[in-house]
Amino acid sequence: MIVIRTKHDWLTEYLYNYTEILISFAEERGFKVQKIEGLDIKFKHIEKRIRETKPRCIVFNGHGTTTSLCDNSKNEFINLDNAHVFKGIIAFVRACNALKELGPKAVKEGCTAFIGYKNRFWLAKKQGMESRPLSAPIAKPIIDASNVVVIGLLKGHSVEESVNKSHQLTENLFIDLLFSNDPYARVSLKPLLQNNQSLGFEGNPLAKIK
Amino acid sequence: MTEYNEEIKKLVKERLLAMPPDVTFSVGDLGDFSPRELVREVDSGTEMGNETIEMELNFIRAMPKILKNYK
Repeated sequence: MIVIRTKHDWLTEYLYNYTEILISFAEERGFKVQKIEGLDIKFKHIEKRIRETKPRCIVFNGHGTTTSLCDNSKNEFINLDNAHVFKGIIAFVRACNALKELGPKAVKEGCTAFIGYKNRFWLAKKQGMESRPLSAPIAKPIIDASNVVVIGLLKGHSVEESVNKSHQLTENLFIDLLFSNDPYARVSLKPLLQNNQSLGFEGNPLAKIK
Repeated sequence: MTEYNEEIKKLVKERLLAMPPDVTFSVGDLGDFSPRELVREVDSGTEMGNETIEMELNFIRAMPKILKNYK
């Protein structure tokens, strides 16, 4: 598995930290995880790593558009012209809008399945929690509902089952947060639902990474 | 760009102002916003304001369906 993760603002920093959970989970289950970060987030470097290691799954965290994924300088490094890089791979792309055009193009070019978000990815936080993202009460349920897709894949569930697990967890979290007495808990509700409605996939629903 | 009527905007703004003020929303490449800043975006009819209205409307539409499944 390859994890490509940017870190250049608080949104990407939070997501970066929450991928640690996925990396640990994968390694505990025997997956070899390669992390691509910082200045290594370049198309040629990524293409080479994919060619050499033939990963079954790629996870990306960062900003995106309908047609591209962006590096730490917000420059496109994957777009409609090089979407073939995902050939034979299940991709989980936690970036805004990429499921709209990049996902279908990647699948057309041979990507096994492209899981992502067709609208903007929302996150919320309480001010002052910047240094402790993993214990940030507002952000945690929003990202947990997203992480569960990758956890599902790592457990051997299919693409469709893993996405459905996220929808189910969202409903469960929604109920818990709605009836919480904590006024901050309810702040999570709207981003949680917004992301849930935006989450989907292109490609083979039955594909698995193991 | 979608035009929303004033009643919808008023509803959205009231709901935003009911949130704790010391929270920040990050919305992809559109940036970071406090609830009060989102209210200003709604008033100004910006892309961010429209995203905010859609988020609130999605929330209102989805809630009955989720609660229906809750026993």
